[in-house]
Order: sequence, then C-alpha cells, then structure tokens
Amino acid sequence: MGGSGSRLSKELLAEYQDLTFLTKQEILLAHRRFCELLPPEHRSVEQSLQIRVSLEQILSLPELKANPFKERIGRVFSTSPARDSLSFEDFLDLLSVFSDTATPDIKSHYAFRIFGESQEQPGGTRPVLTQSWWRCAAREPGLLWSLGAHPDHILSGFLCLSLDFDDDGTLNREDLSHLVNCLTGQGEDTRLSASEMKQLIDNVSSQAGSESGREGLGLGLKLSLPQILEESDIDRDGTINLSEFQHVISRSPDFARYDGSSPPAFWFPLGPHLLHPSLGCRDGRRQPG
Amino acid sequence: MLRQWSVQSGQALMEPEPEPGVEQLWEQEMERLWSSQALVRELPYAMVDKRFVRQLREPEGVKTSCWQRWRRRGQTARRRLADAAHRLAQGFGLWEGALYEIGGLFGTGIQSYFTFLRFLLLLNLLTLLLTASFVLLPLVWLRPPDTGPSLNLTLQCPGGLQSQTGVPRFHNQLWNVLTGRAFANTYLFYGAYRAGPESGSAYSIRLAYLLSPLACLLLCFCGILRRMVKGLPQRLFLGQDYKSPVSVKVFSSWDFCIRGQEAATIKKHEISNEFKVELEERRRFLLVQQETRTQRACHLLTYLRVNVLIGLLVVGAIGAIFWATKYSQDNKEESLFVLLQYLPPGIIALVNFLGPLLFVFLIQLENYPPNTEVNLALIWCVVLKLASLGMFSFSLGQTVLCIGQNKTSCASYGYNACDYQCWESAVGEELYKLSAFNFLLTVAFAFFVSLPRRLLVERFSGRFWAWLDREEFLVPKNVLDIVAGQTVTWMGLFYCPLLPLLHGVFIFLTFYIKKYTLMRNSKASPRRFRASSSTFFFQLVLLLGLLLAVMPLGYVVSSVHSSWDCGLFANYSAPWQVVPELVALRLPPPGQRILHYLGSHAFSFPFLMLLSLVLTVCVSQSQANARAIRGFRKQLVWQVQEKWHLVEDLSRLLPEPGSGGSVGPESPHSRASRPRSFCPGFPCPGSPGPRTPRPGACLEDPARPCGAPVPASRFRFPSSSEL
Repeated sequence: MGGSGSRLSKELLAEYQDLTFLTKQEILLAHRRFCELLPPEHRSVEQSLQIRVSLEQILSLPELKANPFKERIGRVFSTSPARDSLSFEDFLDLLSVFSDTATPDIKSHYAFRIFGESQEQPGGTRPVLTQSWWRCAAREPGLLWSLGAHPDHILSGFLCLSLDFDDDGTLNREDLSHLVNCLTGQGEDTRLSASEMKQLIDNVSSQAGSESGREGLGLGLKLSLPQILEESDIDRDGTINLSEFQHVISRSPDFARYDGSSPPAFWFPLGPHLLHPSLGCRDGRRQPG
Repeated sequence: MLRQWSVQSGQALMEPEPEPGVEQLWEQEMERLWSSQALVRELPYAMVDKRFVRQLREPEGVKTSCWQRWRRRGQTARRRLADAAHRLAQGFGLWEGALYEIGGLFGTGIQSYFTFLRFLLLLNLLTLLLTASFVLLPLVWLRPPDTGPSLNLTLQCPGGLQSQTGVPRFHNQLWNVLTGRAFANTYLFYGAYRAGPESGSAYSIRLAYLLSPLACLLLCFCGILRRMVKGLPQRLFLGQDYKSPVSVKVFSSWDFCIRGQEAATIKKHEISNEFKVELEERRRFLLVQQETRTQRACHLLTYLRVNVLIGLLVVGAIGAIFWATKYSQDNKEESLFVLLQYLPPGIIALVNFLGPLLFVFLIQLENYPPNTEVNLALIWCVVLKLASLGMFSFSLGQTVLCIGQNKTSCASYGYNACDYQCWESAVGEELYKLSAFNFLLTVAFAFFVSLPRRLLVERFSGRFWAWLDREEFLVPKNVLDIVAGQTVTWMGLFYCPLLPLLHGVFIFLTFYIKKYTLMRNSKASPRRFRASSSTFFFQLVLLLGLLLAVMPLGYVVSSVHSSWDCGLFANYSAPWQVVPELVALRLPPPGQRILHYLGSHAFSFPFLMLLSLVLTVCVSQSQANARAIRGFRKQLVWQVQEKWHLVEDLSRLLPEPGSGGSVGPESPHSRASRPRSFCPGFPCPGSPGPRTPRPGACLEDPARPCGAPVPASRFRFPSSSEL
C-alpha cells in the first residue's frame, strides 16, 4: 500500500485540502482505507478515484458499523443516482464533515439532513421533479421567498428533494420519533413506549391551565413540560426547520470546536487499520447486560 | 450534483424551451455563492459542486496575479500552522492511540477521564519547566556560596532540644525513600536551597523561588478557567429556569466514536435511561408545582434532614483527620513510629472510601429524583475530599506553626523551633508522603482488589458472585481522586518544588494502571455520564482545589517566619519581605513610588469601584439582550402566521388544477411506489401543512396529486388545537 503507484498526486492533495477540512495525513489515510475496500485488481490511483464502492461495504467500516444512523449517513453523502454507492470524493466529504476541525455550521447542516433522512429505500431511480411543479415555482418565485425560505435553504431544499427527503425539509413528529427509536434501540427494555414518546416529542402540556398560557405564545410557561418541539419550534408550526435546528444545536457545547477538553458530538476519528486489533476479540470479556 | 441536477431537470422537461424560472433561481444561487466570502470547504455541498463553485470564483485559465498567489500561499501556510499548533496543544499526540481505543470501546464519557489525566500531566510538566528554568538552572549555574546557619539557637524546649536531623530509626533504604528522608538534603525540599544576601545586580534566586509557585498557580488558574468557560452549557430558553434541554440531548447524544457493537448497546441503554429519567423528572416537577405550601415545607424539612445528617458525618470525619495528624506529629518517638508516619494519609483515605458509600446509602433512603441523587452525592463527596485536605493542612499548621495556640515554643521564633529545625522541609515531607501514599493506594487497589475480584467472579458462579460482579469504572470517583492528588501537589509547591515532577510520574503510571483496570477488570457503569457537562464540573472541582491550595500558601508567604536554620528566607520576617527589599535595591525612585501607589488603598478602592461599574454595565446589557430576544421570538411567530394567511389568499387566487399543466403541489414523488401519508415537497406551498387532517385523502390514492380537489383551503396554518 505504500508503493509510489498508489499515492495521490500533490496537486490533487492540495485540492482536497482546499475543499475539505482534512489534513494531508488524514486524506492519505482515507485513501488507504478506501483502497482496502476495493477489489485487489482495481487498487490503482486512477481507478480508486473513479470506482464507486457499494453502500454495504462502506457501512461495514468499524467506524460506522455500530452507528444507528449509518444508512442515513451513507445516503446523504452518496451522489450516485440511486444513492447506493460512494465514490472516493463522497467518502472524503463524509470524513470532512465528521472531522474535528469542521465548523459547527456545516456539522449542524448535515446533522439536520441525516436526521431528516428517510429510512426506506426508494423503489426506483431518483424521482424526477415534474414540469408542472417547476411551472408553479417558476410562476410564483415570490411565493418561495415570501415563505421566508432563505435562498440557501431553497437550493438545498431542491437538492434535498432530489435526495429523497421523506418530507418537506423539516423535522416533524415522525422524524423525531424515528430518531428517538434509533437512539434507544429496539430492545424491549430500552424502547420508549408510545405514551412516553408522545410526551417527549409533543408540545402538548398536560395542564389545562397552560392553554391560556399558549396565548402568550408559549413563552414563560411555568406549568408546561418543555419537550422537544416546545423547546425548539420557535415559530410554532409543528415542525423544526433548518434554522431552528441550528439555533438549538448551537447552544450545546458539544457542537463547538474540539479543543481537547471534551470531544464534540458528530465527530469520529478514522483509524489506521481496517480491523483494529483490539476489537477483534475481547480477551474473555463477558457480554454486558 | 448541481450540474447533474440541472441537466436532469432539463431532461425531464417535456417542452423544448427551458423554464425561465429554473434558470433564474439557479443563476441567483450561483451568483450568491460566487460573491459570498464563505470558504469553499464550508459549503454544504458535494465535492463536485464545491469544485464547480471554486472554478466559478477563480477560473483556471485566468492568470492569477503575483499578489493573489502570494496571498493564497500565505493563507495555506497559516492554516497549516494553525493545524500543527492545534495538534500540539492537544498534547503532542501523547497517548492518541490508547485514547482512540478507549473511546471506541467505551465511549467518550470514560475517555474524558483519560483526556483529563493527559491535561493534568501537561500542567505538571509546565509547572516543572517554569520552576526548573527560573530556579534550578540559575542555582546550579551560579553556585551561590553556601552560608551556614546564621545564629545559634538559644531556646528552652520542654523536652530538651531534639535534633530533627538525627539518626532515623530505620535504616531501611526503601522506607527512607517512601518517607522522603532519603531526599531531605536534595533540591526536592526547601531546606537545601541556599543563597547569598541580596545585591543590586545579581540574579535573585529568592525572588525566583518566591514568585515561581505563584506564577505557576496563576497560569494553572487561567488555563482551567479557559477550559471551563468553553465547556459551559449555555442557557437555551431565556426566561425560564435552566434545565438541560431535552432537544439538545436528542440531537447530540449519540457518540459517533463508538465502534463496537457492545458499546453501542450500552450507549443505547444509557440514552434510553436518560430519556426515562428526564420524563420522570418532568412528571415530578409538575407534581411539585402542584403542591400546597405545607407540603412544600414538609419536603424542605426532609431535604434538610438528610443533608444535616451527612454534614454531621463530614464534620466527624474531618475531626478524625485532625486528631490523627496531631497524634502522628506529637508521638514521633513512639515505637510504632512506622505506622504513625502514615496515619494521617491512611485516615484520609479511609474516610474518603467510606464516606461516599455512606452518603449514597443515606441519600437513597429519601425519595429524590434521580438526577438530584447523583448530584447531591457528588457534591458531598467533593466537600468531604476538599475538607479533609484542608483539615490536614490546618492541623499541620497547628503543630508546626502553633496557629490558634499559645505554646511557648512558638513564641520566640514564630514557629515550633523545638520540634522542627527546618519546618518547611517537614511540611514538604508530609505532603510528599501523602502524594506517595495516594499513588501506592491506587496501585494496591488495582492489583489487590480489582484483579482478585475479577478472577473470583469469573471462576465461581453463584448468587453472591453474580451480585458482587466486576468492579464498575466510576469516572467521578476516579476524577476526584486525581484532583485531590493535584491539590496536594499545588499545596506543596513552595515546600517541595520538584513535587510536580513526582506527581507527573505518578500520573503517567496511573494512566496505564487505570487503562489496564478498565480493559481487563471492569465493566461499564450503567449510570450515564455526559462528557461535556461533567468536564465543566470537574474543571470546577479542580479550580476549587487550586483555591484551597492557594490559601495556606498566601498565609505562609506573607505572614509566617521562615526557618532560621535552613532555606532561602532565613533572615526575613516573612518570605514576601524579599520583594520590598529588592524593589528598594533595584528600582529607581519613580518606579518605587508607582509600585507603592499600586499597592496602597488609594488605588484599590477606585479600581474596585470601576470593576463594579463595568460589571453593572455587562449585566444590564445582557438583560436588555434577553428582552430583545423575547421580542424577536414573538415577532417571528407573528410573521409566520402572516405568511400563512398570504398563502391562503394565494391559494384562492391560483387557478384550479385542471387537465393541462397542473400547477398545484403535485407530489414530485407521485410516481414512486411507496405510499405517502402526507403532502410532501418543500418548498412546495402545500407544506409544512398539518399531517393529521388529510391522511385519508393521500393514502388512498398515492398517485393522485395531493391537495388536488380539496374544496377547503389547501393551505392552512396548523392551529393550536392540532398541535
């Protein structure tokens, strides 16, 4: 793997350093790990830049294998039409967003896309935006702007549409309950019951007295249960859009830049080997729980 | 992908002419990206799009001027330098592999303990560097004359003058090392430092020795404060009591570093427990809100009851430490001298072992919410730990310096000259013993308690062994231990300048011992431990330890007479007196006057008033900001309502969907085969609409465009009753 034939050229390295948050060593390591996933006869530099690796193989990486969001991550970063394979550049994008020097903005943007990503696989190819839809948007471009959508979000909304968001570029209750289910796992004792889920997500308070408080636009309610939507949904439309998501996340110190004192959320380091030696067998440890 | 998208949309169009609106929108977005100052790598697009944008900004064919090329080179060089400095500040890459492994197997909560160890090692090394470069190196280089004791001690001691540097009872080399006797005349302790009288031009070792501990403590204080502020959780919901927001937990609680399936399962258990605890807390909070006055008073009384009980236990514990220290110092000539040497550290360790167990047991008897239980136990453990160290230093002060007593032996020289010829070295030895004992205890626990426990639990099966189980790796307990060790090191900076070196070696070895214990002999604790907020908490405890260490040091440096027989400050009434002497010797008169002014009351009072003025301004500014934010939130909600009214009006004005180009929010996914239960399509005007009122309409016929012949207004703002 160290032969001169399998190293990236200096210009390409410099370009990747410009376009991602990775350092030179990390890019070379990523290239090495990517080449390990390719079949042995296709491991030259030119082929590694063109061949796409299937999603299953990428998701078998030890860094992603145990992650409940791995399919979503794979689909968000994939640029193929069927979104089932990643090229080397997609892989670099993935590592760049999850590196420790990535800005909190880009992390929260991708976090939003990953959490809003649907679990199901589309039946066929990428859905096509119909001409009538375009005509609607084209005739009334002001409509889109008047909905307060920032151009950045509109374009990413277009992209998100083509990326098969299952809904409208916002996180609604179903997305949140999917998210919580992923986090808590499907085991009998860890799964939250339906009522607990409802309590966690909904912003319905169980106090009758708070109904009058809602007229005060939900601020300073002493009796309500501050749940997810209550805390994050600023404009009270029942969903969390990108700006609200970024607002919530930016308050958490976990998303701040890594300074060595505590690692941030949405970060993982890439290991040097495909199979880390200590993860192979656990030296006689018992299974917990 | 942008290009693919545009190409594809071009392909999808049935009509030959391009849609003007599409091009217009795309061009606007491209223009915005082209002219914006955002770095290309910060754009949330795929690599091929970023390349496209970069090409737009700097077309390849265009010859870049020398200035631009130079600027770009400077930028990349600066970025590389920043990256390198970043990596350096993280600890020279020390232990990166081990930390990576631990983080992958156990998550970042436990990894934070090991990162904390690395941080403390760096602090100790920096302290040592400072001390060595300002004190040791000049001392070795300049070799000042070795002035012997300047006066003969003439005093009446109750039991006759006992020489402290007499022959020790045990000639055992190992014992001498463990008690510090072997190093009594080396640079490890205060007593071995000597210097000639102060002169106007030579390097002043005394000043360096005096100021270097103070400078180290100040630097540590700034470093800890900086890390603490970074980890501070910010108030999310202004105007309400701060409770850690659930939404942040949901969005950022998954630990992406986890690489093993078992660790993932454990993490899911943790998160599930956390959510359930959170829900439980909310329910309790509601119940509490509904209580009457008398019930609240009853609650307060029960709260007080357990805290008073624990407070009494803590007082008893530190009383025991006080007695043990006095006994050990008073009975230095007993036959059980061996044991008595280590009695105070032993009692401290025992107290800190039994105390937390008792506290947890007592707190669990009451019916507290789970978070309160954990926090209360943690607070009392911290109080016990710091109080025991404080009491230890106080009782040392009592025996050596007769603080609060009226012993005749202290009257003449200001310290107990009968028992201690060089009291700073004696104090240094005590702190050395404490530090060494803590380390030995760690080693002993790892090899004589955890290891046999694991072996026994693995070998035997039965209810008792299953209940006993492997040891849990409790991060708070381990962090408190290491913070206590660091506090002892800071206390001893003046008496034992090379103690940071020793403690650094101990930390280095502790890392590997704890790693071994974690990997082989422990199991993961089911109790949740959030890295970020607890990092803040432990930096806070470290800060408290620092403040605890500074107080005795300040007292000793400013008001206590140093030993006549040894050390650097033999002829001064207090070590701090070196500073005025040097100021008078070296600074010109105007400089002296300025310094006098800065130290006087005439300066400090106006300065304090200025500080409080600045503080008032900051507080009122932040209150004004909070009011503004509340106003903006209200405005935002009103604006969104207004927009939805506009959309409703628009829907009435738009033509009805007919046979030809349907204009309505035809579902872009209508040709997909999966059933849709709601209207999709951001930024389709039909969204974000209410889900529940129209599941039937869309589910029956997914191919039919959603929102088509619905007689009522298609777009409705979700009313509060639906939410």
